[in-house]
Amino acid sequence: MNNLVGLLGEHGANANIVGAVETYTVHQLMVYANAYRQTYSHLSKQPAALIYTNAASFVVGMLAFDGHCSRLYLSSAVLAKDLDASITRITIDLADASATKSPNTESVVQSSIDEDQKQERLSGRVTTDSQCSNVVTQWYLATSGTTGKPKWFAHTLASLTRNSKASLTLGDLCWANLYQAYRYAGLQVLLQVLISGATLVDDDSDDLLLKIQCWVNTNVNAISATPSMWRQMLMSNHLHNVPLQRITLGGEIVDQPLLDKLAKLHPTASIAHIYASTEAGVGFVVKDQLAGFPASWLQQGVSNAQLAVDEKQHLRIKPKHELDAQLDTLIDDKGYLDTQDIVRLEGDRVIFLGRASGVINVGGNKVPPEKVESVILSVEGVSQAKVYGQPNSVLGNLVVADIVIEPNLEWVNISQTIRSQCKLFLQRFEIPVKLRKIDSLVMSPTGKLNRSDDHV
Amino acid sequence: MNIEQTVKRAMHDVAELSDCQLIEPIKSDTLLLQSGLDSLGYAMLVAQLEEELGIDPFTELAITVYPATFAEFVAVYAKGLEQQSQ
Repeated sequence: MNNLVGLLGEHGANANIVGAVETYTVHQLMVYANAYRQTYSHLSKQPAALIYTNAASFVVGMLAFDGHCSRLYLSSAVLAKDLDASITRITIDLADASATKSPNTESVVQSSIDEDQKQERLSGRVTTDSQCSNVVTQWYLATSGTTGKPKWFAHTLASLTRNSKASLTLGDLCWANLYQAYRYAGLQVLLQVLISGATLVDDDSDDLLLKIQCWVNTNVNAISATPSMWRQMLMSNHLHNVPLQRITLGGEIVDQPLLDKLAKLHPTASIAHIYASTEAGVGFVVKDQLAGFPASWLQQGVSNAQLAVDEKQHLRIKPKHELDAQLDTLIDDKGYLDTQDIVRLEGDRVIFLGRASGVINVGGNKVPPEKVESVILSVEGVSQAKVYGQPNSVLGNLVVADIVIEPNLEWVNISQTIRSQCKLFLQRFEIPVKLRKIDSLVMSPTGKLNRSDDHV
Repeated sequence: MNIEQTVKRAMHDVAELSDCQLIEPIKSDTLLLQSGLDSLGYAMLVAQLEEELGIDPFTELAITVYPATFAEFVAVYAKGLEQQSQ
């Protein structure tokens, strides 16, 4: 199996990454990658964590360390805090290398390297050493576990690029970068860009109107985003200025009204919604502009997996590749993984309803209710708490909490303390937007909170 | 209280709850994306207005274009309430 450098060579890919300061070709990034690989030659067959700074720098790290390190953790600075201290953290930021003019001659690559690594002068000699490596790197991506602590799942380059395609048309696409590539969806966009030889516009503005203006200026014609991000873009009233040929939705349940609105605004664009499971490392694409997916796929399967619905109405997937051993308890004797996604058969469609685990999806951010409950339960005077998602037309769901307090205590005081504790310990999207005082909570016979009852 | 006042007051409530800094004054042509509320703030606003007014016009299929300005946002609710009373 090729590593990433070999794979790009095979496709003759000549992707471009338009950064905030500079535009890089893949060939330029390979030069940097070779230099980094030499600097970190001691990490051969060792694990490493690559910290995201921007798309071009991340590609350098991916090219440098795939086929070199035994395990490569794609991480953010925050996620890396949970990794074993023995794993070397590598931060590359080409934007800091303002002195770098011509990486393919004798100039010096002065990208910032993690503080614990000595800055070294690196020769920019182009080599193809990386193609000769025989290490098959395991790529690790994080997903939020039920306690909110990230769980890392292993993938291979082969499984991650199974859906990536190359063609002349795809090579002409110019993608916006709305995700960061240490997440599954962001990595899929980046790998698609690299393999198809397309362009990625990596603007770093937080202002959506400025972003859209940047996309217009740079001829962006392909965007991959969550349904919540798409609703926000529609709210801008400027999305029609972006000449979209490719519209991709993923990360949340896709509803029919949103598909209809996008189709009306961009009638010639191809619209695809993607179902992906980070744990399973599989995804399939639905292109008929209808919510859910065709029920016939339960018999026929999709390109890289077989599908089934079990007696609990959970979608099960059996990918062609081997699954991470951590998932063993969720795999049945026929090799099907329980995705924990609840589905319903409606006519000839299979429609997604939500997560069985109770994880709340707020605009693509996963919120484990147990994490929020533990913060609320730490407040004195709170005897029970139950956190769940309330359907919302803007972000899919919002977090709300039902709370039982001890008798003879003032709700006003306790609710204020809960709010301030939540602000201290939770991210904004995790904080309940509504705190409801109730008299008692329903428990299951085993003494657990009943998460399946209807709140609406 | 008319719909415009209800929406403005709800915007202030939500801004405080969601730690957003609302711009002042909110005028008819103020762009929603520049009003100071982010997407979480808007999600909370729509949830609060659903509690107060009993409707969420954004779940309706009839809304084909999302409002861009404050006046358009208020108009969506006015239309939704009008349809509800018919």
